[in-house]
Amino acid sequence: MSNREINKEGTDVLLTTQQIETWLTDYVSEIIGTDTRIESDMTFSKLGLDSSALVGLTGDLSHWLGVDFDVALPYDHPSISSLAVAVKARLSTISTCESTSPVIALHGGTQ
Amino acid sequence: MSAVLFRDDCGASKEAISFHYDVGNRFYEAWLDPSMTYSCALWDEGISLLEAQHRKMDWHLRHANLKRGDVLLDIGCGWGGLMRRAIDVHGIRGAVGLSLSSTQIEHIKSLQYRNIDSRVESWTTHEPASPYDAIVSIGAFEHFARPDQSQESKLAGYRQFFEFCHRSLRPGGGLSLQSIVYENFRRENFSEFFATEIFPESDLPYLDEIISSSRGLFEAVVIRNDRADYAKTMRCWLEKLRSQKNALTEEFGAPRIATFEKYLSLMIVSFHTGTMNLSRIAFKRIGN
Repeated sequence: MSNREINKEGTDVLLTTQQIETWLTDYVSEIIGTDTRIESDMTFSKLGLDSSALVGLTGDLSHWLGVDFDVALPYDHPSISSLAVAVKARLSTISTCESTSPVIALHGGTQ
Repeated sequence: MSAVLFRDDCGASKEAISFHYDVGNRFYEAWLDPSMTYSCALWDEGISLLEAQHRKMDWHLRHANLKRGDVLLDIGCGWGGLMRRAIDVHGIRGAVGLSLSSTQIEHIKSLQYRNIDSRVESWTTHEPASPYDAIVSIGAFEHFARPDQSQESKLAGYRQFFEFCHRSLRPGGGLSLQSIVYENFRRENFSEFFATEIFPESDLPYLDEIISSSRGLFEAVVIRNDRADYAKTMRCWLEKLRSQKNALTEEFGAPRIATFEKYLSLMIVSFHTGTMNLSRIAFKRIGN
């Protein structure tokens, strides 16, 4: 699975905020359809994502990056752009502070 | 007659309670703390989930004014953690526990506490042998009304509960309640998922409905709202459930595990954002 390979190569922490934003935009457009224009600063609520959809999004995001994100994260950062910034910040924290976590242990060669 | 009364006026049926709680004790054992407490803990800095559950139990036992040698009624006793704590640590003489879940009562009986009388019984049919010194009810009030009931009928059911508690307590006795309540919630947010797959036949109270239903019977002495505590408790449960996901999926099936993951996640969001709250209310019985 390519997501896991990304982790093994250690590129997750090197993802840019823009790349995370692109992933989120693609994800949201798959749910709401491509007819709707998605602005990255629109709130998830305005985009029509309900709580079940956001819980699903957080789960899939966690799976993609191999990092557990709290289910309430999209409520504290309620748009694609703000969530991407928060996710990037969390990844950066992991890369510097949680070097014993399984995901980061795989990054030994890059540190 | 009493069964009809219960169905019509006082919330979820035994079948509806069984649907959620009788999944099997092994299932809940897997992701609850060792005391098998399935309700919001009372957190403090640097303590474990089990310690936070004990802290919650102690809060309620203290606020129900329970003393050494007293007899306690626990309405919605779950797997008996509070009664055991009251006996083991607070030195009470005995406890009666009511639950509509057969598997919970089986578990309590298997512990063989001589001074715990646990029963598959609703408070609506319970007749105390003599007045209790204190009543505690944690995580049961959530089941005292059904979504299809009128507002009038919902409040009448709550009133019946407080009337029951009043006549079952000795003068000056304490009652400590804990319930999830609607907070900044709109009717249109009512989730079919919860109504059909998680807690059938159960509608939540608002805090003011609890208080107004107790008027003239009980004085609310302490009220605290702790939704952050429930978000944290459920995060612990979710983390533990996920850490054993493969084994649990094998034993209980993928759909059930997915349903519980979704339920816990949505509840965490509700407590985090404040559409729901967690109220703890200590009451003092009014009158002789």
